[in-house]
Amino acid sequence: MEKKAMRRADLITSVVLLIYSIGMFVMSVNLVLKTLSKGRMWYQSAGLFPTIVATFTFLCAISLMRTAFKDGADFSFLTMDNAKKLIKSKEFKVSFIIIGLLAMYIFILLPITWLRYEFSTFIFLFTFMIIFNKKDIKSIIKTIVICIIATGMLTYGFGQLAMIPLP
Amino acid sequence: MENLASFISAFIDLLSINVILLMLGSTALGVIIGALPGLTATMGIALLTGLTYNVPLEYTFTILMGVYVGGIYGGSISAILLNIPGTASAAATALDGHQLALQGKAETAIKVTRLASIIGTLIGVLALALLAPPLTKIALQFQSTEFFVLALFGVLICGSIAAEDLSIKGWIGGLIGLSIAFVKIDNIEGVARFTFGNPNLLSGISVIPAMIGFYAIPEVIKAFSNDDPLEVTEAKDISTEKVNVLMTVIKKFRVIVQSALIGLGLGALPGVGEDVAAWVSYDTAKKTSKEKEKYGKGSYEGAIAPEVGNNAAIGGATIPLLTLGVPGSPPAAVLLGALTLHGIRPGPMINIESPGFISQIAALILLAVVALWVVGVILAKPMTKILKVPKVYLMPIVAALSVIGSFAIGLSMFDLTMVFIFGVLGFFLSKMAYSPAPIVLGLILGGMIDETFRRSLIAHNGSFSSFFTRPIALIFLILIVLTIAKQIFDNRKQVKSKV
Amino acid sequence: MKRVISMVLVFAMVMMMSLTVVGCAKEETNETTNSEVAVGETSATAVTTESKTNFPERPINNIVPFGAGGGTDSWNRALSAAMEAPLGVKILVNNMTGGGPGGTGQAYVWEAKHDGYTMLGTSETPLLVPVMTGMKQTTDDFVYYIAGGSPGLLLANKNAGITSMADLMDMAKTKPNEIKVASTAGGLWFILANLFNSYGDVPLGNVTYDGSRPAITACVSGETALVVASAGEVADFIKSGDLIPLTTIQTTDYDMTGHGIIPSVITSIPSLEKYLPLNQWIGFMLPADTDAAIIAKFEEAFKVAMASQEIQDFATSQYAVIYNLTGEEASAVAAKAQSTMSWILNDMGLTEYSPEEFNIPRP
Repeated sequence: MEKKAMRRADLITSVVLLIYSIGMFVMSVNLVLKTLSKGRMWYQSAGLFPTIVATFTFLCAISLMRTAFKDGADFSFLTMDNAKKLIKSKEFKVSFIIIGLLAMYIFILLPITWLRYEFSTFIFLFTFMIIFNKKDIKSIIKTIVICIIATGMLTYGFGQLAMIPLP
Repeated sequence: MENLASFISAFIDLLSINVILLMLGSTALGVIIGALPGLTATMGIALLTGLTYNVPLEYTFTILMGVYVGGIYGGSISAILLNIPGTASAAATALDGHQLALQGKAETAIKVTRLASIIGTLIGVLALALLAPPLTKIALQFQSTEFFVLALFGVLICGSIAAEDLSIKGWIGGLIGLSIAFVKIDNIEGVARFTFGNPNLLSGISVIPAMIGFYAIPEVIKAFSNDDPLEVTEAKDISTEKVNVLMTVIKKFRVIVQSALIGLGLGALPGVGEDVAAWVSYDTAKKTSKEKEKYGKGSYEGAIAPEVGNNAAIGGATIPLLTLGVPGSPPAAVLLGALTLHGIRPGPMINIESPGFISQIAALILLAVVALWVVGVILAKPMTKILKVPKVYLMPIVAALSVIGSFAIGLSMFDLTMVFIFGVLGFFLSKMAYSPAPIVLGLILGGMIDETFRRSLIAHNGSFSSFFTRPIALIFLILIVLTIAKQIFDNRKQVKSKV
Repeated sequence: MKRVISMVLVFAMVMMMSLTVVGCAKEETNETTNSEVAVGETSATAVTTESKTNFPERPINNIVPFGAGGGTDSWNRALSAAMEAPLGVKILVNNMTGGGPGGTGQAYVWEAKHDGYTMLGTSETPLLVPVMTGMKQTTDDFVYYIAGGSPGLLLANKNAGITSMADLMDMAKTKPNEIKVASTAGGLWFILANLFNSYGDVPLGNVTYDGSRPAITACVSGETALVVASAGEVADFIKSGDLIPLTTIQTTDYDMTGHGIIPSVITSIPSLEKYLPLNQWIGFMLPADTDAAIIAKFEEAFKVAMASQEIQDFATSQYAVIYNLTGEEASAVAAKAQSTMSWILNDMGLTEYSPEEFNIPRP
């Protein structure tokens, strides 16, 4: 990412980090208070280190924000136009697709218990490759062959050799 | 010197055809397991422990040690070629290793790291064979106080990991890693922390799924979303420099010895494993190097140091494993299980109850080193050819492998959810120039730094004095202060020179 | 095309090598012809067509909810190996850690079909699953097969200047809470370590660790003066002289091979008797609504395994006492232990859920 876009992204990150660190801080202090209320020492508390980490994260977030502002970023880029441009970009589409594929594999295909691992994996691999590969017959056949081999090896390697109950 | 004699005779005893072949096969298997993203040395040993339950003792440990040594080395291969460390211990190698690959020096990089790994393992083995008792005594000097200062030292490394952009991003990464490490049932108070009522989180977030999520998934996504064609198209050296591998490595003698000692020392500490050893070796090499600027941009030193360190840690981790029954690293922890299953009782009585066993294990590791060299030479070319596979075929397979690999460790669908979450998070973070390395390092060290601090205070009734009165802790504290001071000083100098 | 071929060749080479290694490993075990190892698969027809008197017809999965190499894991591998012959099929041991005191493994086994093909390796630790994770299954929902366990000991570091319980109790009075006992962070050893100050009137401090071995190492290294752990885990340190056993936390004395008699804790602290027995025990369990014929089959196989020389030797090497309990007896032991442990932890304020929510009675 070139610098300007980076700084804008940093700005958003710093806001997220601020919220995150404040949240963690509150939860951690709660833990410390709970410990004290049980009559134990402050240093025994599970909330001790998280409080420290939350504080440091907060400070880092502030510093990040400052650098972002200094380098010229501001919140004005948060417009609908820019958002639309982002969604149309190749990068976004590609990442969205891959993340979607992964989600489909992990949250849908594998948990379906009657759909055996071999098939889930084959579907995942095949869909993944087909989307990004050239769309001519030769490639499609190559893809199918590769998927079969790969699925076979994964299944054999983990299911038989390692004797793991496959998902 | 009787240790030496026993070591040599144990080695000679090993030289039978069966053992040699078995060692070659298992080291090769180990290298491949280590190289495949999603599989780690720990997992390989764990799986084989179950499979070798009924196998006679000598063969079992031949197999297990071969996989151990091969696995720790193997992680560096995918780290170099794909920027995805195959094992946590290779995360530091990825920093410079992958850069070297991008510069067309992949084959040399692999050869260099192989030689470094061999040297590292050798030094570790010698220590195991000859110095186990005194090293054990030193390890016993480490109480919670010392562990805390050590972990603090480790966390400081996060800030100096070469990030392309602001160095504060290294710190943020480290802090994020630490906060992830806090999600679990607290070991000291026994209360659930940050688990939001989800029983899956009670045991915390395992390092391997997180690491796979942070490293592998972003690489898979990046491979397709970048507009450049496959970056490392040819693993054969494009660059015309004729680099003599042996000379390159030998010139770095000081770095090697230093990293080996660090790896050995850290490995020998219970609970601090090959991964931390690699990082500290890398960082120390960088701090003491005459060519600091080259680190992160493809410096051979940067690839050598962690590989020597993590392999030396193998010998190191085996020491407390055998002499105290306390494993020095995660793979060693699985070995402990294997030992128990085969009736060996590691601990202070090991030399009395199973005499000569330590020498036998040392001899096995030595044999594994030889096997590593042979296997490394054979496998180097084919492995680099992996890069020639078009990424449209390679990357989906890497993704599927990562998924089943993370599943195989704990047989948990929840771990897969973790891979997904960290994968997506890691992708966004890497787009914003956050390196995954400090995050994973923070995750590894988080538990240790938190618990040892509190435990030290509890054991000493709230007194901080132990941090200053115990010599080892004091030394580390001074090192930390000096490191921070130097960083501030360097920053000031940088700022001044910019103005 | 050439690339694909070379890739295939590489993988073929990999397979060859792995096969030789794994083949060697498998040569002593029976190859399974049936590839139906995946436990996740369920099919309605399997229940009706599989005759229950033909159990078992395919390999059984033993899920151990703790890590490889630990006590529960070692015992279950030994037991599983010894039960393969009487049952006639392979038993595959897999580790499924997580969920605090073993909740993840327990949930997996509970949610699988209760047809005897999925068993759960267990110890006294998963008894705390209800109060720590909220899962509803208690000892009423399982049948237990209890093999054995190693007695719990209280030991002192050799440099602590404590050689007997009398020494300890005197010293504790003069320095309340300053003498520390190392233990795990939850579970049995933690409870035992805290018995002394909570119910035994001996004011000891407690420092917790990530497991038994780190706790033992901490005591050996001198960070704490005392440690509570099982005899099996500390045997070598007793032999080497690094640790001195003070007492055994059970109602009877313990005659430890190679060391001598270690007095029972009730000789020095009679008030603890009503909380005992609180012993370590390891074995496995099945859902209680598994078919009775299958439960009986397991009992037979278990008895054969327990009588075998391998298990006897294994127990001796682990310094374990053999309990060999099944059926009503085993369930009674488990129920009492669950009630005692859950309520002690609850009274210390360390549980996430109250035992009352699960109808676990007070001891």
